[in-house]
Amino acid sequence: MMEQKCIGKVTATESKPTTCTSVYFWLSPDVIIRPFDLVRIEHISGDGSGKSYSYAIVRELSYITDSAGHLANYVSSDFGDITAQPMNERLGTTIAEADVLGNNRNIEMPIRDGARVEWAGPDEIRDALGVANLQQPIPGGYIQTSNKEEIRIDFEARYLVGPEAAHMNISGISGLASKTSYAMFLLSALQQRMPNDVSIILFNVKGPDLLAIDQPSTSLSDAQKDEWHKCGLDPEPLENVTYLYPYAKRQERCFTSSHAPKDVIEAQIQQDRAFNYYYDVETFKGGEAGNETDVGRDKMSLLFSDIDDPQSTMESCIQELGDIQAETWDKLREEIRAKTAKGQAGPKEIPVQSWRKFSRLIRTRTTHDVFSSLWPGEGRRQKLVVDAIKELRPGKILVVDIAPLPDYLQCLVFGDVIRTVFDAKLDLYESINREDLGRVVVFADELNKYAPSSTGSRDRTLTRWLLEVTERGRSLGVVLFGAEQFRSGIHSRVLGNCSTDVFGRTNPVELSKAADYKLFSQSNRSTVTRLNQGQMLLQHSVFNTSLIKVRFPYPAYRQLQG
Amino acid sequence: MKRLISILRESNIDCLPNERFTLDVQMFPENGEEHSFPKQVMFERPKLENGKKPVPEAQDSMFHFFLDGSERSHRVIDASFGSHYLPICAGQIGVAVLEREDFRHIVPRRDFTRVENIIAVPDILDDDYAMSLERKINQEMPASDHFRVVRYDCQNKTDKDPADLGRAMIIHEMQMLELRTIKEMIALHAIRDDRMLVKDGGLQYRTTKIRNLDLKDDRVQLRNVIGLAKTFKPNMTLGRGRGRQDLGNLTKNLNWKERTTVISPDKDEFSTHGWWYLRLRPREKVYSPLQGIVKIEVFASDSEKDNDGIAEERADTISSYVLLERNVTPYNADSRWASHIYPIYLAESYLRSSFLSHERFKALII
Repeated sequence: MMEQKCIGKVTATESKPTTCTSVYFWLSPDVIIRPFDLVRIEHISGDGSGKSYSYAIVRELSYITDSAGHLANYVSSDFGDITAQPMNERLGTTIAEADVLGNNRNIEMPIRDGARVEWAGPDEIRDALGVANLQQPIPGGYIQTSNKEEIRIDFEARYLVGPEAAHMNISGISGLASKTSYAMFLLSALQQRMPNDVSIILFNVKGPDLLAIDQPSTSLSDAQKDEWHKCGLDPEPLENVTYLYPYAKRQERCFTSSHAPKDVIEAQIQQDRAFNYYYDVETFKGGEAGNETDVGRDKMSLLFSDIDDPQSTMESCIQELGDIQAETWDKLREEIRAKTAKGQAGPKEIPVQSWRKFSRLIRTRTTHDVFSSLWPGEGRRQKLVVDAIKELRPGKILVVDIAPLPDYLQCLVFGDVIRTVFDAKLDLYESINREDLGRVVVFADELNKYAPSSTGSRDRTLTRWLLEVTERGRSLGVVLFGAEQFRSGIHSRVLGNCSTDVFGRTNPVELSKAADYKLFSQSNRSTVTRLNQGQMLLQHSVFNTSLIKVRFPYPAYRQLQG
Repeated sequence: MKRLISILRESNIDCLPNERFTLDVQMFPENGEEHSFPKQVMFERPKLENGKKPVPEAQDSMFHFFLDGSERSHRVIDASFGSHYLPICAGQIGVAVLEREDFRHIVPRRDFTRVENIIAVPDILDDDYAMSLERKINQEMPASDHFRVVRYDCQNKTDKDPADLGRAMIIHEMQMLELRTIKEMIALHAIRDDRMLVKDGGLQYRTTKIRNLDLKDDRVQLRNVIGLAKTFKPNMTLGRGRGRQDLGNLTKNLNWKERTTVISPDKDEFSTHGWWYLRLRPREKVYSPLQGIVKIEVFASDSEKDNDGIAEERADTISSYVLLERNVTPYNADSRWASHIYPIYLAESYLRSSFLSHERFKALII
């Protein structure tokens, strides 16, 4: 291996010895280095001939001087004269503290004092980080080292979308963390690298952000395109996208309440890629032949997932719905109302008071236009969610717009999609062949709405479903990519099942609240509060280090403004 | 590897290890040759009226090199030499030179830095025997641990403790190493008017030592060698008659950035150098009136000797350079910080780190 320029030497002292996992080195005064840079360090060889190289990632930098204390520096300025100009520069040096990642001859002995420290080359860095020789690499960004190297960082597909491990979580504060941009970059990478294996469902949760993801960005500069190339990807928008908008009785708005510009929707309709989803009564009673009837009933409870039901009376009411004969929402509401009258015939397991509460809630929560029946003709482009999922295939993307819906309806739609995909993968739908869907990646922003951290009481329906998806999904091929502002707001088991974690910029309050950040080193904690847009810290099962700081490219699709 | 005591025994020297091996350690003997002059006189032209004056501020300094010499010596072995029972002393001597580059950055000059191991044996052993002993020792020792054997005079100074004589010999070797280094730096034109050398400790070498340097025409460059001593004897008396006073009285009244007049031993003694005192730190910020005062020594040039005094401008200029060195300080890291200058402190630290540890050195010997 060629000898590189020496940038420093290892220092091992009585109080700070080198260990199998950590090493300290002082730096030549002209060297600029930063945390997350990778270095190689000369080490002994096992057979006594030649030498081996250990690789280490810089964790912390400190500058030390021989000053015995701050007071010595005060005295050194003529006892506090701020205009004093010292004739002598105090003896000092930068000490780097680094985590040892491995050794090219598998030597695990602590590195010796005085060992040469050099920059690691690109191939060595990939090897040291554990991202070389992956079976199916999925680009996750690239790192920039202080010596001007740019190295692609890959995820291993088996650990990103299953079956070995799966699920990803992205966290970071709004506006600065670029969570959605990173998720879209990764989905683009999956579509480009695994077009025959992965299908994607994503939810548009705010404004019209993700409603033109198949249109190219017109503002992408050459430098931004070059960033895509550094990741081994083409700077292209996503392909094969179908949009599902919430149905509304607004003919002038293409029968949807979506925030997407009308011309965008019209263009998508022309290409037969935009539909309006709705909920008919049958959906909640078991939409089609097969054994999914109970599934439909479960979905009704999503409408009330934000309402406490300690006695499970609402759950009982929902179970009773199966016996109600109704084909329209008006008829259903009428039938339920009928149960609120005194003197009901038959067994009275559910008190009238409970039916009254249930009736009241059903009335208020099913007034949205999305609760509709199928209208004749194709002008309204109505589609049931289950039908849209039936048509999902590897390489295709389904965008579900839930931005215009109130929170409880967002939960309903999200839960419905997740449950339908999960049930399809469990072969509960006769009309869906689970193999046809491929591995389904579901991306949802604002995960805290759907899987909030446990409060001690019983988890609500949607959270329970998400737990099931994250615990069993990797083997079935249902993968959740979630994003949220604060990790502390997410159910710990949902987070715990993620094999990949992406950390965007966050604030110190969150650092003190979320348990995961407590395991970060002090410098990493500091880094995560200072990340720029376009930078993320990655944690992935196959990496040899706990965190890698990467850059990722600017979105290549058209971002609609709200 | 054989130890020194074994090699001596093989050379038919009957010896025993000395139990007090560790007692004589003294790291910084900068006043090892502090002479006590019976009479001292003013040595500045023109004569300074009040005996002290403020030092002008300088913007830049010509001090470029900083030299520190140190020794660490021990009485290591007691041996029988016929009817005599005398100590053998051993020590490490060294000289370190640091250079101040541009931008106030200080770097070591390895080419002028050296460390030696010395054994001082009584001069009962003749020169040839000492040479052969040195050869024998170095044959057995790795090159990095070689010793030089020197002889101390125990026959003409019977009133003194022979161990002190042995140690004095080692100090002498250290001083000679300092002077040889200065000579080498002068010969290589490293020391110039704009690249002066500051040496830790005084310049009160015996005249013979200076003469033995054989500097010839380069002798003029000695004016660019400055000695800085951190300690001095405050009870030394200056002047004669009614004007006479102890140094302590003179220096305690110095204000910050003031210097005393130049002093010299009476011309009948050594007339080649002069010294004065400068207050480096504000008086109200130090614990005692004598803390923060540094003694500056210079060699007198031929014209100054002829004119009976160090020129006032020269003393002012050198004082202003020394004053510039007051920052940064080794405050709290060295008890002598108030009268220490940082480059010398670094030279000391550098030299100390170059010495063998006490344990390692002892292991070479017994």
